[in-house]
Amino acid sequence: MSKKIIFESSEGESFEVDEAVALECQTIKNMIEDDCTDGGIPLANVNSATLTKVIDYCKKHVEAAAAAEANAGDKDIYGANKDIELKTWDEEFVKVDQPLLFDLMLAANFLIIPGLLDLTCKTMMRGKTVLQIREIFHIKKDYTDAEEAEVRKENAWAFE
Amino acid sequence: MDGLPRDLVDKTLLRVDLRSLAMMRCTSRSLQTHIYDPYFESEYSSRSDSICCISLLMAQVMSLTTLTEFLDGASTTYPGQIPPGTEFENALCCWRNSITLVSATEKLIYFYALTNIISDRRPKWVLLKQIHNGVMDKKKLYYWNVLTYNDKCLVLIGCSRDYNRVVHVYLLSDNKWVPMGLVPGWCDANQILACGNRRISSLSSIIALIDGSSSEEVENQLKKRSAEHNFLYEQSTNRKRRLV
Repeated sequence: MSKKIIFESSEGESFEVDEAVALECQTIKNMIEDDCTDGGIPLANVNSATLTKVIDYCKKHVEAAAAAEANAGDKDIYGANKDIELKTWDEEFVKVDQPLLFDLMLAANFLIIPGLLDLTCKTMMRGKTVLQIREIFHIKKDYTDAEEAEVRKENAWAFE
Repeated sequence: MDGLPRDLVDKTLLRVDLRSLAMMRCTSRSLQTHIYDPYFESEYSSRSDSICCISLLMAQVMSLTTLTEFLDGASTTYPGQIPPGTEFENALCCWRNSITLVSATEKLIYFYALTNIISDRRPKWVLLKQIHNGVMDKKKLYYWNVLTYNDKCLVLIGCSRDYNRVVHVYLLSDNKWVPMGLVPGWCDANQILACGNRRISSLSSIIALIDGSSSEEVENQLKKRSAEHNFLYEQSTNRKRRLV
């Protein structure tokens, strides 16, 4: 029986996960190494919905890593593992609404899950217009209309 | 970006693709300044992979057409005396986070790097170095061209009149040419492909023997690679230009 770690969301809800899954989070890994995880880890800035998703992500990636290890011989000639299945899973995983995606990004940053941070950052920006980006990130437009037209012209290729 | 902690802003910018980065620039002046920072550029390009390089390349070549401009202005840009009618063999090579244009004549080979990729409005091709060619003798050859390059070696291939193809490798560390091998005329493989820091022969049957994988599988992967390679190659040949 593997060791369990207990997370506590901002709503006070408890989530029990295998230690291996928790180790996916660098922050938690450090805490486990320092042996200060008894009695659960309170995550005051991660809500239950986000935490559920984060745990799903970590579980999947732990399983995938274990499976990859078992089939270590199954590599293509370039030495890369066939991780198409995992990529597809990741793509499905981030098909969530904008606020949840944002929360996932913050959680990945806080818990230090590099893979998830990468994934959420990229998804957040993909195919967004300038106006959408401003809205999502609360960016204040400090260009004049003329300046904006100019900078858009310089980066015209991105709008094609 | 009031809603985001500063470090997360940086992390996001470092992770997005170039198109999104260009969009980000258009959103506010402070971000524009941040992205123009040389420190940001070096961080960004050290993270980005060859896929990014290729998308960047497409962006630069197709929209900004700096390569065309560069080649159009070639007579003034190439150093030294170039005899009229000299023909250049050009190849664009992506290596880790850089793009190199290898431009070769029978006598000399020039290496140009694309610089100011992110921060400058006008990316420039800068001459990195030049080496002597000398291995490709046009009188004996049917044709020759630049196959690939990374920061360790340059691979040229020449096809002789009897359709045998000779592969020459220039080792940059030793500054010397080494004949790498001969592809017999009867062999249908005509590409040597570079991948990462390994050189891979496209003689699929040989790979299959070494690798233990089925030759069909190897063939498919090579085809995929080859398609990418050809695409880039066509990009450069389309713009190849005879100097007058």
